[in-house]
Amino acid sequence: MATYSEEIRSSVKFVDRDKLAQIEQRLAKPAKATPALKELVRKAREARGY
Amino acid sequence: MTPTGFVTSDICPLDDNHCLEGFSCGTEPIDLFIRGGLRKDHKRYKVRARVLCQESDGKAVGLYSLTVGALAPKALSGGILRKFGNWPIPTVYLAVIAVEASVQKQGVGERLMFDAFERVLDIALFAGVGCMTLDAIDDEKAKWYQKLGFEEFGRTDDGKPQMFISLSAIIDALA
Repeated sequence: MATYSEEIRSSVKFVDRDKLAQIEQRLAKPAKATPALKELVRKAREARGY
Repeated sequence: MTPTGFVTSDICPLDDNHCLEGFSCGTEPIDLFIRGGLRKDHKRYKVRARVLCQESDGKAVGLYSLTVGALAPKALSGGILRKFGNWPIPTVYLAVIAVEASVQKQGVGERLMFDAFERVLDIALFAGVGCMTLDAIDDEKAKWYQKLGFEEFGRTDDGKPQMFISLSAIIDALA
């Protein structure tokens, strides 16, 4: 079994061909940020002072 | 004073002045890695870590690290790859993100994630990036990432959710 350190170095993720095709299709379409992500950005900018 | 209730410096690259000794986010494998191998990996450019510290003593209260990666087709190579057209998707991988246990639930994680999204966008301006990926530590944390727009695409060998968020969602969030 890989150690935690070895695991996080494994930044190449192998996925099934069909799943990879699905992801490619998802990435091909413009995506909108979720309300939670927009709120995270707003709070983080506020914490930075702008 | 930040809204988190304690004075902090800006998030900056890990250096020898940052104190990681005694850092504890409450998840032992992550703590051991941060106290042990993170600085070495950072210096060797295997990952690049950024740290948020208390101004008073330089003690790290949160950090994250990024490295480049890919989503690649399983068990395919060469001619088969060309036939089916599945080429690896370039990614930026959030290798670790951790907040000191004593300051959790005070917005530190959100600040770190925001900084990480900005860095992903920086990288994407100079090299192709399709999405950002991460392995959530457990299903509960995965739910938090899902709210941010991450989608699960698989599981690690030890059952952690593997997730991605598209670059276009990050661009939209930072616009």
